[in-house]
Amino acid sequence: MNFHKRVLIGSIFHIFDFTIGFFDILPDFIGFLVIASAFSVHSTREANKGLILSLILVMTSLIQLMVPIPNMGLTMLPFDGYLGVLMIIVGALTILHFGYIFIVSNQILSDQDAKFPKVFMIVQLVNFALLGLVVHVTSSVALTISLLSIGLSVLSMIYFFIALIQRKNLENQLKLIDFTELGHSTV
Amino acid sequence: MKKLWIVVGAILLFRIGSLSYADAKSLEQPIIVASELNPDMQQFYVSYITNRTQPHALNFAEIGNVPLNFASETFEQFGMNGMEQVTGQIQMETPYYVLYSATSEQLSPELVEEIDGKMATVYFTDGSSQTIPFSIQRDLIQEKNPLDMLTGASGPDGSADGFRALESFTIQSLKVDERIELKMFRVDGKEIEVPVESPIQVDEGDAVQIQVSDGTALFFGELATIEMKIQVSGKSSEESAYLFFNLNEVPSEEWINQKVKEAKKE
Repeated sequence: MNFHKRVLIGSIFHIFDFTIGFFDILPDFIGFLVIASAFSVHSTREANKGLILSLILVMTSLIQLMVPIPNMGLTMLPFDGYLGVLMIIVGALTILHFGYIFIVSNQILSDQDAKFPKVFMIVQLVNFALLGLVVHVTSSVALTISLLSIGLSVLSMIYFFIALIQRKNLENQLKLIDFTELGHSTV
Repeated sequence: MKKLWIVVGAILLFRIGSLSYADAKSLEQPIIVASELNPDMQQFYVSYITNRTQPHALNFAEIGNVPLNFASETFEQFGMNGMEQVTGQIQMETPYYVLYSATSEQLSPELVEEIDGKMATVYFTDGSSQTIPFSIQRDLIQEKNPLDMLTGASGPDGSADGFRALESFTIQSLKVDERIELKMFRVDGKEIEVPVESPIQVDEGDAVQIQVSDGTALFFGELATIEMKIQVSGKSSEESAYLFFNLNEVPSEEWINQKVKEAKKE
């Protein structure tokens, strides 16, 4: 299974949350484990850093599974105390994680002139910063910020999955080319 | 990637700093700013300042051994599962605080008598409680009130009411609620100087016009009072008669911040 396919499967677990009762049928930690396995196949410095980040996110998502987190819905309110700080750190690590996914992806697709998605990363950073304002404004402004944040998240995640699918297909084509060239040379 | 680490690190510090600042602003306990019993409505009102995020919710109050319940419910909206809805009405909201006013369930007239003059203990759902004094709002329609209200208007600038005297009496003194200012007091077309230094004679049928400024309302429908010490013709004892005026002005952000500042100092 190629790098992008693993990241794609892992991201489905990470991004989507489906629960039946209290049971999360798409737990984040499985997603991060799958992404970690994708990084582990490659031996570049960035892939190693991506692997470490994935494993840290496995740990934090396990903590989140054990600590009951209230569903705050559209309010997007941060949780107080250690849980609040943990959620902020997880947010920061997730952005860096996205960064390493695209860097390793670019390394794999170096011949295809793949570009680092700057706009996607800027949207992630803006979204992360925006949520810091929610506690300093009135409810109506907080709701506007939250809706804006949800909109940005949805759009950026659509872009993320489309980019991953395209990159997965490119990686498949690369492997096919390698295989064909190998076949020709054998003949 | 180094640039991304730096930007993410800077935003991370901003987020943690932002959370810490909001945490430092938060109240450990709500601040009760007003409490009142309305014998006519047979209801108890409580008004309190709490955090905008994660507000304290009122559970119940107790006066003497009489429990006063406040309706509490949970709601589900946009996936907010079972979040507790804070009992009461939002009177004013600032970025960090909210002023809630809550109304108890109706009490029986006997219970109203029983709790008269006692202290109230208000319990919150986090288990904390506060014991507070409360005022009793006098009957809105007093059988003995010698002034019959004919006209009334109230707005953000205050209230202007017109009365007719049902019997002859003498006003010995006037005690104006500290939240309002008496702007005009006219008896039978003559302006009366306030504070009243000498008794004012009001004859049966005289028109009385009173204009007061607006004041800060801490809960919906809050009234300010003017207490008149009167002597009705033919009677030897002095009596109290009350006039009521609607308060419309909600507290300012500065007022709420000042209350929080005072509470944090204590």
